[in-house]
Amino acid sequence: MARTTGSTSFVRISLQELNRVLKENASIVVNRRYAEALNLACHPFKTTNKALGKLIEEGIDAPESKPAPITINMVDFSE
Amino acid sequence: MKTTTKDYFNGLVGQDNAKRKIAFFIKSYMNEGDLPHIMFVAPKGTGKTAFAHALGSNLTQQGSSRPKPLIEINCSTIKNLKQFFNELVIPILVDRDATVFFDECSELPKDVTMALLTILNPNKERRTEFTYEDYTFHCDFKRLSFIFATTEAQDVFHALMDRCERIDLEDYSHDELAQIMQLINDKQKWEGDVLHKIATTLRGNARKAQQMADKIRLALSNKSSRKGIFTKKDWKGLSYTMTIFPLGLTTAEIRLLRTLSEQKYTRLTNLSAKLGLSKACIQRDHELYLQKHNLMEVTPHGRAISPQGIDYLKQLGKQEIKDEAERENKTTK
Repeated sequence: MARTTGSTSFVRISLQELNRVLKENASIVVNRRYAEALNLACHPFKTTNKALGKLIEEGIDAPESKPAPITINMVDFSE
Repeated sequence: MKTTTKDYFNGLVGQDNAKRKIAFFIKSYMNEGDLPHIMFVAPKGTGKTAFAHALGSNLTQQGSSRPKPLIEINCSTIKNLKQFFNELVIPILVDRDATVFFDECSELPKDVTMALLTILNPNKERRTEFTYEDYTFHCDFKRLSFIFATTEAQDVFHALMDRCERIDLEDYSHDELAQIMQLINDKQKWEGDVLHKIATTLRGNARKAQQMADKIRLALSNKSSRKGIFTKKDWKGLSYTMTIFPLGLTTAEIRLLRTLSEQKYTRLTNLSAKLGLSKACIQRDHELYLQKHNLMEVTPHGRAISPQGIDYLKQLGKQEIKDEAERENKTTK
């Protein structure tokens, strides 16, 4: 199928945005040339829908359930 | 300057051994400016919180006569070290004079306990540092004093216990409980030895004395005549209404004694099935008090009612028959 005029295979994204949604130890998929240019330790990855789905599921940072606040009672004896 | 132990504990009855120790530490705080970490160990309702407050109210800020505020924390609500730092240490304790009171400290999570071991580590300088992530907490024992309290001493991490001066509180005597009730309802008069009779049903527990004093106040407000005097008859009426048994035994404990009286020995499993209570509940909540008063025994053959227990049930039975007859007479009249 032909590619839509003006569309691209790659997108740029800030590390901050990645950190917002992914866990610290999440695996991310990047262009091989990009990884080599930065001399990153990386593993080959075959982009099938299934493999990509699994990678995303494992990497997403589930929002932490916030514990109830600590019960603190302040007693001021000088009052 | 306060000199006697009584001055430090205005209104607190009993616990003379604990009072002596606390008074010693308060005096040394006044001279040296720091307090050893204190661990109150006591059964429920014996005044851990009251004594922690009394101690806290005597610890003054550096260079001032104003007492330091007491920050009371229910340890069961602390979930992890991150929360401990973000909600307590950084916003409340940093750069502040305060007494920190960890109530129910056996509930502290492991990572917080480990952090406290470093924070509370005794040393010559009387100050410590603890780094969590990128934050360093400087703890100066002249500014921050630490008090812990627990009913479950065996569940407190041993190294934390080692860092603290342990103060054990004891059950209150009947006289002390009577004194507590008298202090709470100070304008009220008591007929004969009724106050002492009431004290025997409070299970050595000061909180129960407070609750009983409230019940008596309510009972007196419902009375049509002689409102200021609590009579033996009033006590009989209140005992019947509130199902208060001699020695303060609960209905479940009476059922347990009656079940034990049916055969010579009863296994815990059998007892659990008959009473519809779990084994742990029987062991933790009911047996201990009965054993304390020698009303039952635990033997290799099983549980058994003691001669005192048999006597207790006989007396209770007689009293119930007598009271029932009196009530019937009253209704007929």
